[in-house]
Amino acid sequence: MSVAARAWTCALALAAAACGDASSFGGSVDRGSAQALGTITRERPTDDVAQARLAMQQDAWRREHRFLDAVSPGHLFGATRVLQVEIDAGVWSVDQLYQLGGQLFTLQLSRESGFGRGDGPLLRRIHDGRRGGPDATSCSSCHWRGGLAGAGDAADNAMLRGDGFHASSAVARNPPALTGAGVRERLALEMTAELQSLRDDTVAFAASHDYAVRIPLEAKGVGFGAITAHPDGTVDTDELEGIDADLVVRPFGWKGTIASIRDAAEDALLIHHGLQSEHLVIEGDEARVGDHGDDDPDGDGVADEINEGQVTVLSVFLALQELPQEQPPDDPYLVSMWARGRVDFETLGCARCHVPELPLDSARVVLPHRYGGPSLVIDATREGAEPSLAPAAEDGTLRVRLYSDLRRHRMGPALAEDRSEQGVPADEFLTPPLWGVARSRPYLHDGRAPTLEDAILLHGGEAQASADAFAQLDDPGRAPLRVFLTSLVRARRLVTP
Amino acid sequence: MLLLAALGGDDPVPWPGGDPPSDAELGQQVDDALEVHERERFEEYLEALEKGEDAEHIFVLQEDIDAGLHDLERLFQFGDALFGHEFRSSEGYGDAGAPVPMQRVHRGRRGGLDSFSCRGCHSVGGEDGAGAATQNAFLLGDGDDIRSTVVRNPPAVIGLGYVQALAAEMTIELQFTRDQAATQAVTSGQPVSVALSSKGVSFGQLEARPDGSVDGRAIEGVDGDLVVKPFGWKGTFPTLRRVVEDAALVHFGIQSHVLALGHQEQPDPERLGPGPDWFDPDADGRAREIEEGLLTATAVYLALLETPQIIPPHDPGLRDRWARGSARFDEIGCAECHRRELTLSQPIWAEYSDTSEGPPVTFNLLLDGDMPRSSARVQLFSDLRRHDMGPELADPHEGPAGAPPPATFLTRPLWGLAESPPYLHDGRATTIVEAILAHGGEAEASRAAFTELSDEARADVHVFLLSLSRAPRLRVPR
Repeated sequence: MSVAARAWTCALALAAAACGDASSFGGSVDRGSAQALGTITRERPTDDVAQARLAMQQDAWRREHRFLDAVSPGHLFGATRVLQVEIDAGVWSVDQLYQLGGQLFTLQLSRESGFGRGDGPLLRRIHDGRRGGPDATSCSSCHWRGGLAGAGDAADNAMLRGDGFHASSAVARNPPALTGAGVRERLALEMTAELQSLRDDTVAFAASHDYAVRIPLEAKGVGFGAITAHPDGTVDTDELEGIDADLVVRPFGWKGTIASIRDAAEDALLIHHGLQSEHLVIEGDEARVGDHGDDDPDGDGVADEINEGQVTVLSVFLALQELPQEQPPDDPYLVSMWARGRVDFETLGCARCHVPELPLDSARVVLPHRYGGPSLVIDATREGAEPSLAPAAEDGTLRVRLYSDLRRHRMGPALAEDRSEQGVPADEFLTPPLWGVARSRPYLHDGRAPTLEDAILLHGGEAQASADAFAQLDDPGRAPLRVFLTSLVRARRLVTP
Repeated sequence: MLLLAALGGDDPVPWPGGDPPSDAELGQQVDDALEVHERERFEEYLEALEKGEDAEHIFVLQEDIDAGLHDLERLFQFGDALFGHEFRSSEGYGDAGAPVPMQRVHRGRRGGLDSFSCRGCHSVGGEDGAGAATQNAFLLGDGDDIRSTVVRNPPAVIGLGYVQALAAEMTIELQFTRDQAATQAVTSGQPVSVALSSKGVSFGQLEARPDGSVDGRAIEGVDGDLVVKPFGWKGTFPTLRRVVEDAALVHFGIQSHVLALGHQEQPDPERLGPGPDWFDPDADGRAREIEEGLLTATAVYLALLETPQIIPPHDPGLRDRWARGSARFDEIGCAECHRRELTLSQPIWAEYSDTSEGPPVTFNLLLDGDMPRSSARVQLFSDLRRHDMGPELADPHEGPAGAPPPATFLTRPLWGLAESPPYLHDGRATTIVEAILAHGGEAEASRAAFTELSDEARADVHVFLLSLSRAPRLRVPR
């Protein structure tokens, strides 16, 4: 454990009045100010009226707690302020953790809770390097289309890593839907394990047999190029495709540069809201958090803006997001078109990258503890927001209909940006999952495509042949694929507002 | 603390108004929401089946409206379809050579490309709602540097029929006062000075001269033409029709046929584009990008939308504070500009065509609008005039010629406030209290009075303002 990490654990334990003792994990811990308010739920009653009543009930709580927040300023933020030790001690149920995360996700952030930074304007639409904006006053204001934790409009595009002023200096990123994030992360972890074990076996083989071995890499049936292991233990990664040299599958971010939900959530809090997590403050990378000192690096007069527990509950909320659904049309003619489109999706080659289904070994979504405490382990089939992952088939395999291979591909010059990102070439992007795609307009990394058809036609690079094949069809010929893609939605849900 | 404890997880639901919605009420709302959902789902498939299908849902000719071919419900549907319609370049989205994707920093009065649909920037607080901070429009810029722009947060677009109707009545009254004074001055041969006031709101005064001319230097809060323009953060648009037309132009590069006709009469290349043909000013090869009939339908649609509601807290203790806050709101002077209510005398809407002589589309706001509706006493919390808000809130740049000065803004109606964060014209205030504290200029005294209140009294006002909301309404997200 690093010095910083130890100091951190101690600080937390102090808050729980039990410092310096490993038993602080799992001992008796009182709840702090956090409170599940009844405004968020994982449930989706199948009965419409029950669903409606639940929505109305949540809305009533939302309003009443908002009034309470006026009377006791900080009430709503405080209600999300859960300590990691409380989580570690198991005083919160998964359902409550989900609610706390959802409350943070939907909270209107304010300066009092650390929104913004002291050395810049309150809102900064075009980001200032890695420091970011802030550009939004809540997570849900950019993730709304199609429902809670949905996608963002083109107007909501983040303008990342700019000079703070010029649109031309930034890269535009359309907010993706966050549905099924936990399962997505789990798939990537299993693929990473598979790839790294292949590599390690190959290295061992090369060393013991004393000759170089070249082996194609594959995980869950997805190819990642090849590596060559040399007898001296070195690995030649020049032939790798769609993945970093460390063989970690990073399933988040348009460029596939983010490995975990926690990293994504923590970075989003930082760059979109100026909310600095305890962890990032301890890390102290001034390019990201600012240089106004250890306690309050962004200099906005608020220290300890987001604690580790809050990052955890936000991650839990995201990890348990409902899974998108496939809902074919009812009309018999439409059904026949849909069925044809399903086949076209394969024959046109879409399915080569947008792999419809990936097998999953385990539905256990694991949120590792960053400071030596117990990991959170959540069963995505039983504990996920409804509709959640379907339980395992008879053979024990879970099937995730993600429509992605979770690797990166070259998409050609038309989609290329003016710069590479963290070593990922300018025209290389992660295959975005197409589950729920009909509820996440507009399309592509910068939202340039208002319709699915526009998006398809803008594919280039490795997808050029598929796009060409689609382009050669006349309008009636394209219809089946469009109908099929239109069936990739989210479960119908009554909400308010 | 007692209050907080009383609201723990297993306690009875704090239904607004005290009672849960009845089964009948809920059932009706469910049916309505699902009907809309099923229809949209089907239309979505139809569009997938045949590209361009959904463009037909926004194709409406003024001639057909004039001929009475569309009833109110149909016009409402056209307007609703426009609000959700995603424009594409084949329909005239953008202009020739406009960079795709978005052009969020606008190029002067030509505008930019902000979204593909109206709905894209009105997502906060429910359907037809307000805009998030990310959805701010960056107007009148140089196309790249965001510092060159004026920033505007998208307002919610419900209840606007009442707003336009009230403003129109005020206009008539002010102009009548002016015309009477002018007549009197001419007949008496003496200058006549009159106070301008309508619905209890003062607009300064004017002096009519014996030669029939008018000295309007003492007019306040409204342009010299005495037309009360209730739309736009600076009060620059008189009607929903013009708002829709301008929004389509500056956010999508979609040019209405009416704009093109105006351009033919009086070319305005700075706003519409340098195209060689008057009928396609942005030279993207598409003329008649939207028909005049769509302006009519959309104005009708907006005028018929639901009205914001006052929804007090449930808890009796909070209700007391709400009542005290309401009184305090008047006491410290907020209500002087955020006038609680204006009374509508004439609820009949008449939507006239710009170009044809056809009969207007008429309906009764108090009978035909979506539920919930307002009564004739419209609780919009605005005086519908402009005020100087002081240097802190002033725009960083002068507007185009004839625009109100940088620090001048229309009194924002506060109805629906709680569902429309962030606040102020550029979304700079994340909370209502921040918004209050940012007031200056003519509101300086009220701001100061607010800051001098005890914490508790300030919270009371905050509670009251949070009750300015929208009725909970079920929908299926799309």
